[in-house]
Amino acid sequence: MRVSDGMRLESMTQQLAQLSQRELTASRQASTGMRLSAPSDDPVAAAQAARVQASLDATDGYRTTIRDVRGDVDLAETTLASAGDILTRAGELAMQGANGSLNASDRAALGQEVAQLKDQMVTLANAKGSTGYLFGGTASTTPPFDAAGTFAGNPNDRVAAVGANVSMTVSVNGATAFTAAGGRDVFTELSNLQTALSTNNVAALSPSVATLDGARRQVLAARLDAGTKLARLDTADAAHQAGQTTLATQRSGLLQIDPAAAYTQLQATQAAVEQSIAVARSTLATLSQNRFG
Amino acid sequence: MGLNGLLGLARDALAANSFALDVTGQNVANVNTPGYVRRSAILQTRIAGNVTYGGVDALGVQRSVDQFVDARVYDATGNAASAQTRDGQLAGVEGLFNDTNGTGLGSSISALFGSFSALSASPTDDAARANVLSRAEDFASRLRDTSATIQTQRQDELTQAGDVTKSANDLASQIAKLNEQIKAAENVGGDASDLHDKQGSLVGQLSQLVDVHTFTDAHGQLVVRAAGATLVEGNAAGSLSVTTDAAGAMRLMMNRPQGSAIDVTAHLTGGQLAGLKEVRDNDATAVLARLDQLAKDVGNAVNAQHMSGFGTDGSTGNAVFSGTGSAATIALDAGMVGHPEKVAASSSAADVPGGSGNAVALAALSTKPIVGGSITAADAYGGLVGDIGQRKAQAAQDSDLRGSMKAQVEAMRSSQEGVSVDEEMINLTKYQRAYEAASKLVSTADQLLQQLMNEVGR
Repeated sequence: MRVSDGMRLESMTQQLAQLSQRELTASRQASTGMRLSAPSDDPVAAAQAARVQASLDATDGYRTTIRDVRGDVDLAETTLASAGDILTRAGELAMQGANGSLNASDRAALGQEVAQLKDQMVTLANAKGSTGYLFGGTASTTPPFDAAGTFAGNPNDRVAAVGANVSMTVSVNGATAFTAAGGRDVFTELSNLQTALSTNNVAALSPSVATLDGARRQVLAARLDAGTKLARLDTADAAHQAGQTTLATQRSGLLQIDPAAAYTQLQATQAAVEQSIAVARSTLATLSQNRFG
Repeated sequence: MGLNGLLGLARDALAANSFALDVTGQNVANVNTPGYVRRSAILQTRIAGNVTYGGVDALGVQRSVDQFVDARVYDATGNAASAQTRDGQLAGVEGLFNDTNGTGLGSSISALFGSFSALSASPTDDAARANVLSRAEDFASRLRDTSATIQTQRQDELTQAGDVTKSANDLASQIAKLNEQIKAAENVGGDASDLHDKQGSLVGQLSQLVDVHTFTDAHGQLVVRAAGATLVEGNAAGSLSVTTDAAGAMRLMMNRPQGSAIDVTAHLTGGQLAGLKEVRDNDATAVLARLDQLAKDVGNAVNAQHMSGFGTDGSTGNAVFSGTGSAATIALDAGMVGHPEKVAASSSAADVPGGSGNAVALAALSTKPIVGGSITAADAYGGLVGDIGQRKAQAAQDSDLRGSMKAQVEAMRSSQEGVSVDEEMINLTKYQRAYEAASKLVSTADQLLQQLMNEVGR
């Protein structure tokens, strides 16, 4: 093949341009630690990375949701525990009142305490969390119980999206915990006890002990339900956390480059560029000799 | 033949070799001139009647041109320019979907569904409701922006194609003018090498813009065909122009030098025009179609679910998005703007205000095959990113491959047509020695004549 001067120069220029391009890519990868700077660097990995990123974002969202609702479920659980304590105390007062050695005024004094317990119970049943009143069902913006303990809420569950296609009831049913819907109306039981004590109706006090115990069990069953929900939320959160770790690893596997590999690659391309420059220099020296000497 | 004849012979030799030296000089001078084709002097014995005279005559110069190699160079140049243009234009589109740093349309989709999940946790919280609206607005506006940016780029590509045709038309008229000049020069026996070089270089430039095929007609003039139709014939040049059809696709029209204007779009295969057409009416429209589908399917699915729910004000049947027909028109519905209470978290009127059944159902849409009835929104977006990456990667690969093919045929042409200084050095020496020898002939003849004069004149 006949070699013209133009060919030699042209091929030198191209060689250097190609190598510089490769060296640029290698140095970008080594300095940023990222294998991909644009989807075209590896379209399949970029598409996967976009999907993994979406899963990561969704998981972050679910964890935030879980954190948001967990506080209120926790609050419901402790509130119901306190409600249980009140009913335990009311049961003790009923038993005390049934004692034949007490007189009418002693019983009236006990009745006073029961009245206070009932007020406390109303306050507890109207407990409000960050997402509204805890025991009013979906009527969460108004107090579910009035001063007399009449229920104004509804028995509907509140649900939250806590996972991909996973939703969970995050409210405790106030109707079954406190009202006749669960078997016994807690407030009626307390009112009956108060009436029996203040009217010195000793005969009514003994059955009251049993019904108050029933009411206590009812409230504690609701507490157990809240505890179960807490455990489920925690399990879901732990699963999300594990998922996040996996997804993050997957993402970095798709997008990032092993630093050692990146550095080796950079060294290799730099060496190639230097070599090419050396060759170019010697070719240019040949061309620039005075060939007409 | 006598001594005077010898002087004539020497004169011929001096003239011919100095002409050859001149040609060598031209070659050396133009070693780096683009489009220059190396020349050689055509030397031939001079014929003088029927007797042998033995003189030398420089007939002219010969260009070492190879039309087949030239044709391959034009072809390769057109292909490379087309791929390079497509690659360059796609880089702009790709930038819109570069989600590796976590910002963009992809995150706005996640954020939209995330806001539904957060709403399910706090259905009565106005901040959570307002967040749903702002995420929906963000999703819609990103779709609109992305779509608008691609449309603007398509418009720019059309303008650019118009500019390219102007350059092509300018080159075509220069080539036609050169046809005329070459004819005029050669008619009077002149040397038109420089004009041919200039013409070749112009055709080379033209081949960057549009696919070019050339041949020489019966009169020895260059005929240039571009995009399958005649652009230059004799001293007449046609012109190219771009327009759009009813569907908005780019059309390339050729006003032929002879004959009417015709649509040559289907025959456009190379040059910047082909690259622009490919990006504009193939790549960009495919991306837009995917964006439109995403807007339409996500918008409609969210609307349908949302309309079945109830806001805290008891309203129902409210759409979140309007203009869900395409990515260019999707927007937060005017009825929802500034009305977080209308966000339908509850799935029944009885559940208002604390119900979150519908918020859960809205959040669950993120895992449902709502796009094209087969894939989730996140998968559709991933597919979109992958598709664009694939197109850009393919364009870059094409550009590299065609670039090196072009370099290869250019090397082939340079091998055939380019100047080698080493060769010229040898030619220089060769003609120099011949010139010196011819000078010697003159001085020898002179000496002989002088001797003759002296002998005879004594």
